[in-house]
Amino acid sequence: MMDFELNSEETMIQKAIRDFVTKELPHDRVRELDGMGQFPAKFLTALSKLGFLGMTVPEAFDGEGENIVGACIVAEELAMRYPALAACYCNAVFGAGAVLAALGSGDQKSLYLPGIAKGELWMALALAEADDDPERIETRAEAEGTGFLISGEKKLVALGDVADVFLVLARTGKEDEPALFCVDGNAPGITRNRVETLGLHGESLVNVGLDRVRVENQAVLGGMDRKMTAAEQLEMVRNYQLLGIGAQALGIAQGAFGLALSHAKTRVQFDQTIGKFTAIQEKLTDLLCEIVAAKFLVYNAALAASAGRKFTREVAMAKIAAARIAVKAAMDGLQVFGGYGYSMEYDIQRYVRDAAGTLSAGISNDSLGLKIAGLMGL
Amino acid sequence: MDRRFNREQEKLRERTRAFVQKEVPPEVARRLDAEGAYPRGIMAKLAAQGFWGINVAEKYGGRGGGIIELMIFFEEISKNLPVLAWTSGNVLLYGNNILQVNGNEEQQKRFLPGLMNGEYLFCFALTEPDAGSDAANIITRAEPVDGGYRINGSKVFISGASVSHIAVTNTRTASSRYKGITSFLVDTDQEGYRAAPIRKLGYKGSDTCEVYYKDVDVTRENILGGEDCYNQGWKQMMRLLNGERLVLSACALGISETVLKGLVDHLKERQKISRIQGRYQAVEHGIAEMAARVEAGRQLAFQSAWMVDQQMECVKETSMTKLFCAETGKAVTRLGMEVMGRLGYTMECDLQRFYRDIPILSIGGGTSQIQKNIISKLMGL
Ligand SMILES: Cc1cc2nc3c(=O)[nH]c(=O)nc-3n(C[C@H](O)[C@H](O)[C@H](O)COP(=O)(O)OP(=O)(O)OC[C@H]3O[C@@H](n4cnc5c(N)ncnc54)[C@H](O)[C@@H]3O)c2cc1C
Repeated sequence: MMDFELNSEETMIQKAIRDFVTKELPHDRVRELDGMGQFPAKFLTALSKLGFLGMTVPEAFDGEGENIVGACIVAEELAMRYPALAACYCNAVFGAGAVLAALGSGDQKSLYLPGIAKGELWMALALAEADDDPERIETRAEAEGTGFLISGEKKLVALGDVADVFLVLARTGKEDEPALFCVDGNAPGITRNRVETLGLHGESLVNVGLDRVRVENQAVLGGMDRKMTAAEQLEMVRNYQLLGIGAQALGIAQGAFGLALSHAKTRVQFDQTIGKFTAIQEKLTDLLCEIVAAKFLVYNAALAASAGRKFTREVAMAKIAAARIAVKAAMDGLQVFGGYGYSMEYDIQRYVRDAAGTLSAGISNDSLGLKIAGLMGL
Repeated sequence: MDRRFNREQEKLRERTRAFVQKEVPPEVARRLDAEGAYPRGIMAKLAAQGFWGINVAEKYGGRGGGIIELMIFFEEISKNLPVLAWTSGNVLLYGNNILQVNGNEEQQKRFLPGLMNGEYLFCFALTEPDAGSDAANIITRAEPVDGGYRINGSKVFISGASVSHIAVTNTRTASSRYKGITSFLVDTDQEGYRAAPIRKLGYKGSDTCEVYYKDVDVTRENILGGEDCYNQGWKQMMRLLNGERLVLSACALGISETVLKGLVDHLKERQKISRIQGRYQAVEHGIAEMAARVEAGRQLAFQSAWMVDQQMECVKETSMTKLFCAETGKAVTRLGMEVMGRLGYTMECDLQRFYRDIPILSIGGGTSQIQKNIISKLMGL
């Protein structure tokens, strides 16, 4: 319905993930899983067996070799059916795999990447504190001996409940730009507090407290002799994170759209299917236009990332557009369902809840707007 | 002070506001939403404090208020706990209002005192699986039997149906689409009546149910308005629509106002810690625009209410109001989600509840599409 020209490998990936979704994730199963709200470990393991978790991990580290576009396809297809699983998947392939493959030191890569590709090790991004200004960081890493002591509090860390490793953003000196550290999740001084959210149940969100958590110098992302500045690293981390959220939001939009479309074809009022009313047609047409537009933006960013180009602007645009259309498709989809959309027995309500999560995930849209403006020279 | 409200109305607003602050602070609202049970305790307090008389005629011991009083009440209640406005509807709308607009004197005498003191709850049963927007398509039937009628069929999305004492039940009594509908006051204790609550996204605790009628017998006296009103159900319903639209609009306004206020508070905090002058201008403008829309909605709503009070023809205006207020409410909460970020997404934050509550206001009481159908038709299209 809304496919790009995919190459033959991408087509195979798409078919494989669609088969997986059809077989493993029927609608009623997902409804049940959402109700339970647990981390979908079983499905992530199954995805890793199919090689999907290794799509950002080089073969040398037991991965499938980098395939950013492929990972976006997987995220998108998963999100159409089960957004929370897509969120976990994105954290693993983009937030962890792609980040470490691009920025990790040799040691960090061999320590973490094989586990990430196998779905046996989870790394969570512990970046944000004040919600609106992701760069304003109060967590501190005080140099001590051959390492650092990190203290602070990180808010709303996805996968935080299950994480074996946290990628923690912390300030090392008063005026210094913050640096990134790989922090062992079991290190003394770490506390995790579960946070309940409206949707994306299973994403295992926590607030993470760090109280004089000890890390060695090697824990600095990329090592002490890293090639990039911390600011450059952070930009990469964020860009990968946003790409995942964009793909996920795009999938949510299409999932909601698909539900609404089939309801419009079957629900009869006034002796005709409601899809025959041009007002409903227009609603669905509008959504379709915007979804396809967002799809171009998301894959444009994915292609730029694959080509190794800087994709800050591309991914910012993609995330803004995809998250907005996700919420719109879900809300308008609910409207097409009428009262039934409000019932927990129907799935569209879950998209309404999950979509709102993409709106606020990563960096807020208004901060992204400022970033784009800056890149335009404003 | 708003010139359009008299002293009594201003006092009602103050009284309702005070009640909400005392009895339904945000933490209580949060708990009630999480529990999702019909808020009987608070309903009893509303009864005890005389709120159930605000729209009952003075001759029955009420305060004699009309649509404006109802809107003031619903708007203020919705600011903290929207679902409480709906459960209040089980007294104020489906009880007091229906009986006074369409009931006969005997029915009014029989039920109004009990409604006012909190003894009775009423629900309104119209929607069926195949009759939503197309409400005249109902097939639940009432067939004549000795001494009255026997009701068989089912309804869906009936708010308050498992807690109410009386279900105002609209049935098919003749084949004529509009002139073949009769409304009955059905005692829900009767055998054959069964109601099962539906789990929903928002407005939790409204006891919105599927309802089944199996050989439920009613007497002729239980026809709403009396025997003369046999097959008059549709006409009776039309008389309720202006009021219903305005009351639902007031709910949307209440929600919008709270969300806006929360946004302003939130942004003030952010501004305080921001290092950059003018950092939030774009966000401020988004909020300003929503504030303008909400204010426009209020003006339209109370202007339409005034027309209702003057008994002017105002179907177009009330439909516009419902459309505009519900859609504005959705836009406001969506902006809220965008601006509040992840904070607004956590269950500790009230915004997520309003975001779940608001979508139904563009569906219940006639969807936004149906309101637009009405408006365009009345414009001659
Ligand atoms: C929480 C809740 C509480 C409720 N409480 C009550 C209650 O107490 N009593 C009661 O009787 N009912 C109640 N309802 C039912 C409510 O009134 C109906 O849901 C509403 O009228 C819409 O009907 P529907 O759900 O069947 O949607 P549908 O009529 O199936 O509408 C589906 C979509 O089609 C569109 N559509 C339909 N017809 C047209 C058209 N002609 N032109 C263009 N678009 C069209 C609609 O706008 C909507 O987008 C409640 C519903 C809910 C969810």
